[in-house]
Amino acid sequence: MSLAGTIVLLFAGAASSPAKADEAVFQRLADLAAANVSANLQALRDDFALAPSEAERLRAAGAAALSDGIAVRAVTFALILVIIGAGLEWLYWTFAAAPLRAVISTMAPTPRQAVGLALRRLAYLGSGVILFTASTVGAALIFPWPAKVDVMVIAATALVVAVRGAWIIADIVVSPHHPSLRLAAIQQHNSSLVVNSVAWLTMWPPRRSYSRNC
Amino acid sequence: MLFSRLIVRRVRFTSGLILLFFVAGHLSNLAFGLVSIDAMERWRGALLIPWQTSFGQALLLAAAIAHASLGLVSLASRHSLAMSRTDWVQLLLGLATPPLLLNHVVGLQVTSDLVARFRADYGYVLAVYWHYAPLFALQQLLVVVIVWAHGAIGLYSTLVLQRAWPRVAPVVIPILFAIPILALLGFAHAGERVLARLASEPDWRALIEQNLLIRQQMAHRLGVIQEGVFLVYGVAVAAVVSILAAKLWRRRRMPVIVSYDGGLTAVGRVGMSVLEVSRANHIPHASVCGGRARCGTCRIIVPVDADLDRPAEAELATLRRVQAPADARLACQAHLIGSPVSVRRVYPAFVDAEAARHPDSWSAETEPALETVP
Repeated sequence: MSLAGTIVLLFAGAASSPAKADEAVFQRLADLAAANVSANLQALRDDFALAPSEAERLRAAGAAALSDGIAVRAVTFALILVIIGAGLEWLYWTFAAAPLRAVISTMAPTPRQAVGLALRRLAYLGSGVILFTASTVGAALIFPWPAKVDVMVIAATALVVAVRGAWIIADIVVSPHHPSLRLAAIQQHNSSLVVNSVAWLTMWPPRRSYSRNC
Repeated sequence: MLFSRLIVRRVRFTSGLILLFFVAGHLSNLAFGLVSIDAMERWRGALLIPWQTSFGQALLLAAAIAHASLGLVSLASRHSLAMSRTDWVQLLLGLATPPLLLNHVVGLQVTSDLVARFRADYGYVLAVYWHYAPLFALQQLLVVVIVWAHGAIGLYSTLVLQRAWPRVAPVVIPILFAIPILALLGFAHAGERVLARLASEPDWRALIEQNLLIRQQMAHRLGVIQEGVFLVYGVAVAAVVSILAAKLWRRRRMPVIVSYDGGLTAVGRVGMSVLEVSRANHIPHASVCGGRARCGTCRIIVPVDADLDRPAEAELATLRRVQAPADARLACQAHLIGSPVSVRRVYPAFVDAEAARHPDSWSAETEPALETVP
């Protein structure tokens, strides 16, 4: 029974006022609730009974989809992209980490200098993301992807870039490293929380869209 | 202590190097899939057969057990979880490797050892991974990346501290990238050929299925072996995590104050190293090797009567190498005992591996100002 129906029933009972009418209404509500619970339990039992065969069907469908080699090929190419993208960025950081740490360790006596240092941090961090994106997308263009997989690869790369971009911007603005580097007035203990929350929130809309599409 | 840290460090590095050498050969063999499956099989004789002799297998097994055990011991002897990102990555990759790899080892090597007529050649392996059990292929692909990343990071972390690194880097780095990429490409190329062959050659398919039948007949026995290894590994990891958790829990209410140069102050706990205190409190502190007493960049100057544990052999060796003065300690090896400690960082947080390779290139006169109190 819908919530609106229950409310109408309650109001109808209350309008008739006498105690007997109340009892009748509540009795009816209790019967309805009992019937609903019973029906739901039955449906739940049926679903559980179907679960093993459903799982088996899912496993068989998955195995069939995998055995033609398309999934294995797609994962192989995707891992090559990860090695190229993450590997080149790691190589970049073996050179850029020290200058970045130097910027993070520097005090900014004035807000103007804080902005300057923030832009330098943005340049270092942003270059890493750009290198990752360019190498991943560049390498992705070479491979003969199975149908529709190329779109998924681009979408996954875009998601990574969006999350990391938001993370970097948050890190620049509310720098968790040193108060003098912070562009926004925020407490030290809150800054890390803000940076991580922004990254999670960036991931939320694509996740929601993905689950809707499924 | 039964073995000095210096010996433990060498054993861990050597065992890791043996494993990496084996994996490099294995992946190079896979790369021949770009040529043909026959080429893979021909090169197996040179690249893998030496590891399949009794001596080769014993060496590999010893290296794997030593490397995993020393890794777990190192985790259990930590005093804090304040680690660099690289260390976290190494730890997680290392812990994930044995359970993911076990299936491959038991399914091929152990079966070959137990049943003489079982032929674990590349044709069979690729047919299983590409057609009969593709989920295992996905697992093995993941293992390739995990194992190689773990090995490459470990090798790089050691080599980058050597004076010869700038000369060898242009050779080593391309190899570190090329081996896994070529291996995966070879796997993809050979897989396509195997699928085509399975469809067009019924005799060959029958041979593969006969091999699969042997594997299925052995399933129970192999399952018991696999579960046994899983159990031992699981118990070992659980014991290590319990020891670490108990230690952290016991010491959570034993604070020690550390005062840094520039007026910075941080709170650590008994047993933590000064470097761990710096990391836990976001105090910039140089540490090129990640706290392994190798580079000397985390060193600090401490008062003679500072309440810290005594330096061990590995620390003294590094301090001698970098010609540090008598009042210097490595922050990664100087553990808090109980009383407040005052330290002065020698290097700024942004020094790179050059400072470890050429410690004399950073003199006290050229040191830039370290971070001061906000």
